[in-house]
Formats: sequence, structure tokens, C-alpha cells
Amino acid sequence: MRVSIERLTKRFGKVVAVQDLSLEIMDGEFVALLGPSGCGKTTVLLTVAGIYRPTQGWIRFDGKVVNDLPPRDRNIGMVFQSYALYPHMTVYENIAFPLTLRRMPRAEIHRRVMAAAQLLQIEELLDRRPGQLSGGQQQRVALCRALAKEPDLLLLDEPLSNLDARLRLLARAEIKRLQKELGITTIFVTHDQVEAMTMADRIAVLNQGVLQQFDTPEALYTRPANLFVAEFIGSPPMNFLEGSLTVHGSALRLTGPGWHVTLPEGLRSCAEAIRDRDRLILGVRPEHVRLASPEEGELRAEVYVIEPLGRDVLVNLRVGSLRLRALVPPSFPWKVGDIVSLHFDSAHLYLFDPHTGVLIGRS
Amino acid sequence: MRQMERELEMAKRGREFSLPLLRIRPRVSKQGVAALLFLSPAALIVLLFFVAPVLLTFWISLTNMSVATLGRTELIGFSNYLRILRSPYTSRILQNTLLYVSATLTFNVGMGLILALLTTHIEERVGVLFRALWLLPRITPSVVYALLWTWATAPAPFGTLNQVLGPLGLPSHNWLTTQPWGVIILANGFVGASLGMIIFTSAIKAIPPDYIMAAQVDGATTWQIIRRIILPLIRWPIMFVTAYQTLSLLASFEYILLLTEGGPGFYRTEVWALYAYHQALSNYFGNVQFGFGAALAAVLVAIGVVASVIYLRVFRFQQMMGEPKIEGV
Repeated sequence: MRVSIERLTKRFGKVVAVQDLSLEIMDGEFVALLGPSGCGKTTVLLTVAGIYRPTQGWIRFDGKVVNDLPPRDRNIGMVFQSYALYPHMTVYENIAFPLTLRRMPRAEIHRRVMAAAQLLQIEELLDRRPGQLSGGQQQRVALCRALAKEPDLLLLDEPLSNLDARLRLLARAEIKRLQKELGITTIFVTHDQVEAMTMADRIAVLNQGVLQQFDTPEALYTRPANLFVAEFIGSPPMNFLEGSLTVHGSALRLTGPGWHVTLPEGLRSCAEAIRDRDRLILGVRPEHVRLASPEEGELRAEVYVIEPLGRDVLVNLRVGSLRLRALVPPSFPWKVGDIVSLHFDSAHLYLFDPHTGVLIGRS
Repeated sequence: MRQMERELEMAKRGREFSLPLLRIRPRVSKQGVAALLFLSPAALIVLLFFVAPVLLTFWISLTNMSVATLGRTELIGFSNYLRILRSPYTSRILQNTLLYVSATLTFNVGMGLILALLTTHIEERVGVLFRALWLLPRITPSVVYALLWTWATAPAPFGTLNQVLGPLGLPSHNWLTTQPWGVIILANGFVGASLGMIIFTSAIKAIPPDYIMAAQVDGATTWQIIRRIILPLIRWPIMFVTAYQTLSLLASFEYILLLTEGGPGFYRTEVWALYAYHQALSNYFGNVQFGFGAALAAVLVAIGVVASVIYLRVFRFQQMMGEPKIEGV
């Protein structure tokens, strides 16, 4: 089913939870709503589910406006962050509950429950009550209940956040595979950018109720629309250097207190186009920072903290009052307190407007 | 040889066992003393105000104590109890009590449930206001409340009820005479419902909203959500209120006393507790019979104890106390 969210605004009293949001979700697509807590992503989900009514705007299922359709008529499967398994029912009764409400014949209910239970490998749990299940099992049961009704749309509200790290990794892969196998249009709410990046076809990044960017994970990573997305997507987050633009002969420089960076060729065209602006923010991801001996480059920094990650080493650096991060191979020879020079990969630099936060250009 | 081995074995064992015992014993008794000390204030209150009156009542019930015999009271064994058994009024009063308790209880708990469900399904502020209003009779003195009912049900041309019904073309009644039970049950029930209302409201509010939302998405109507999610989840509070109200209704009589005094006519609305009160403290021409009244009260205590035990069994209170039934997120 195709889901269109058109100019959706949701207010609670004076609080604006979602503002003028438009998303077009294709049939069978897996879309993540990503943002920090309180950004309105769960509100969007509950509005699509029909629990909340839009203050303004429209929700369409396959082109039909469903604003006034009660949740029970939307054929939605939903998994809550708390799983919301009814504690007074067994696992079987929980899964069968939506089906019994449709007055389905008993045999058909049984068939569907068993099929869904088999799909999620929870057959041996059917007689238990939710209180007797582990977090991972509860999550499977909740997913099973949502899928047994064969929904047109699957809504997942932070379904992984109550699982431990190891289970989360497993569940992540499993949900992604299941979604592709069943081909159910799915909207997934999360505050974890890794979850969103690894699972979703497209990600809608929300901040304070406003859509920041709606694109594929790769595009969000390589072409963040603004500072918020640039910082939110990618771990560790992008480095930002705010400074003023100065001309040195034919070269353009970004200068801050105690440092300057010569902008590479690729950025000069866009930097020149905004020459009248006095200040700019240069963005560079930690994986695109290279360290070298201090005499080699123009930007010098002090090694502040070294965090070995196994495959890489995350180095915290200090440039004047600035703190930068570099992700470097583990074979690096410096220690805390050493002075090094920083080299930015000239093919992966970003320029942002410090006032609006908008991406001006990238190399 | 064997004998010796066995003795040696036993001696060894004895030493092993006796030593830790010796070491533990003083600690246990010290704990016991501390526990007793901490318990004693509460225990004293229970003994003084609950156990002692029951024992006193039982003792009085074995005597012929009355206004006439004061000063020369004698133990007369179980004569008072035999009198209850032989009395032609006993079955009538028992029936009245049964009717009063069961009808008021049903109205009470049902109304409390309806109020709780209604006021949690409307806007919060209106719900709070409505519940606060419903509590007014509880904080009104019983006499004032009963007077209001007396006025409302007064015979035509007085009485609010008749004044409303008259213009509608409906016949007017002397309600307290024609429908004494109806008035008593409603007057009691409307006050009593507020307890259930408050307990059920807090229980309903304690249900995580996710359950309700999940049920909505699962396709449940409001009625189905109430029946299949909310009611099962507040089963324990419902049972508690039912048990508690049964016991308090068994012993209550003040509204009946104030509204009908057990009438109209002969013992028409006389319940057991009121009968005991009448015999023991407020009989005709001051002919109060403390002994007989005490016997009636003792029977009521026995009925209460039996009812409690049945409720404890049927509702498995132990299980309820064991673990919380409304599980959080």
C-alpha cells in the first residue's frame, strides 16, 4: 500500500508536535522516521495509525484520504516500543486477538496464528503469558501479532530499543529480511541512526517536528541537506569548523582563532559564489581526516584522547578551542600530547551556512 | 563394634548440629523481641478496639443483661441464640438483609464501574469535576444526606421527585411508603458508588495507554476495549471493592434508620444490623435488651467472618497480594 502524508501538522494545545510534513511512501517500501526524542516521529506514526487526528493536512492510503477512518478500519499492524502485549492473555490469545475481533472462523484464526508463529519461530511460547517471556521473545510475539492479521501497513515504534545489544543486531537483520520477504509497506520509528541506516530503504530525518531530509541512507550520508542531518547521520558525527573566508592570492582560506584551512579546488567555486558572506562552516567526517607529522601541513592539532575501537582508532584532537575527531588506522604512532598536522580528504568536504545551517556545497 | 561406630557417628552429627544451633538461637530470639516490640503498638490497638469488643459482645450475649436486669445480670448460656433461632422475625430480617446487601452491592459496584469508565473516557478536566461532585455525598453528614432524600421523595404535593413527575402526567407517590427498598438502595448505592468509582478510576488510569492504542489498532471498538482489555485488567480492584462493600453493607444501617427506621409497617426494611441496634439500644419504651442485641451482633460478626473467608478463597486474595497484576511497561 502506498502511504502519502501531505502537509501534516499536529498540535497538542499550543505545542506543535509535527509541522507541515510531507512524505510519499511507496508500496512495499521500508521507511524510517529518524530523529532525537521529542522530534515528533511517534506522533507521525500514531497519526498514520489513526490514534491521533491530524490538526491540518491529509493522510492518504493508496490515494484515498483516511483522516476520518478509525484505526480499526485501517488494517494496520503495529509494534509498540513497550510491545503492549495484553498481560491477561496467553501468547496465542494475544496473536489471535485482532483476528477474533474480525469474527474470523476459529479454524482460520488457528491457521493464521500458527503460520505467523512459525514465521517468527515462537511456536513453543504460545501457551505462555507475556510476563513469562524475555524481552526478545516479547518483541517477536508483538511482531507476530502485527503480522498475523496480514496488514497492508506495518508500523514499528522503536521495536529494538528494549533489547540488549546482541539481540538488537539479530533482530535488525531479521526484521529487514522479513519486511522484504513479505513486501509489506513499513514505517519504522527510531532515534538510532545506525538502525535507520542499516534497515530502511529511505530515511526521513525529523527535528522538532520539521522534516530535515527524506532520502536514501547513502544520500543522507554523502549529501546531508543541513548541519542537523550532517551531525545526526554518521558515527562518530561530522566535524565542524566555523571561520571567516579570506583571500590569499589565488587561494581561499577559512580562518578561525589560531587556525586556517585552504579550501580545495572543488569547494572554491561555491565558496566564491558566497564570497560576500563573512562566515562559513566547513564540515568533514572523522573518516576523512588524515594525521601526519606536524611539519607537513597547515592545520596543527594536539592529540587529546585516543579511543581504540579495534578496527580503527578514534582520535580526539584539539585545535585552539576547537575539538575535532579523526578515525584513523590502528597503526598510528602518536600519543596523547603530541602535535600532529591534519589533512582533510579534499573530495569529501562540505560547506554550510552558519545562519541557516543549510548545505551550500560539497567538493 | 557396629554399635560403637553408630554412637560415634551420632555424637559427631550431634556436635555438628548443636553448635550452629547454639550460635543461632540467641540471634533468633533477639529478632523475635524486636519484631514484637515493633508490632506491639498496632497489636495493642487491634486487641483493645477490635478483639476486646468482640469478646465483650460475646460475653454479653451469654447474659440476660437489659435495662430491667441491670445490676443483677446473670449468665444464661445460649438462650439468646436459641431465641434468635426460634424468633418468627429472624427469617424475614435475614431475607431483608440479603436483599439489601445484594441489591445495594450490585448497584454500588456497577455504578462505580460505569462512573469510572465514563469519567475516564471524557475530557480529563470534566471527568475530574464530575468525580469530585460525586464525592459530595460522602463528605456530607449522613443525616443531611438522608434528609435530602426524604425531601426528594416526600409525598405530593411536596417532594422534588413528585414535582418533576407531576407535570409529566405521571402519578405521584409517597415513595418512602410505596417503594421503601428502592429509595434505600438508591440512597445507599449513590454514596457507595463513589468508593468503587475512585478505586476503579485509578486502576483504569494505571493501565498503560499502549494497551488501549494497541487494541484500537487491532480493530477493537470502545466497547470491545472495555470488555476485553480494561475489565480483565482491573479484575482485582473490582473483586476488592466487591468484598469490601459486602462486609461494610452487612454492618451498615444508618441510612435505613434515618429514612424508614425499618418500616414502613412491621420490619419491612429492617436489616440484621438495624435489628441488633433496635434490640440493644433503641427498643420500644426503653425496653432495651443488651444481651439479646449482643447475640444478634455476634451472629453478624460470624456472618462477616464466613463471608470474608469465602471471598479470600474465591478471589484468591493471597495471589493478589503476591504480585502486581497490572504489569507496567
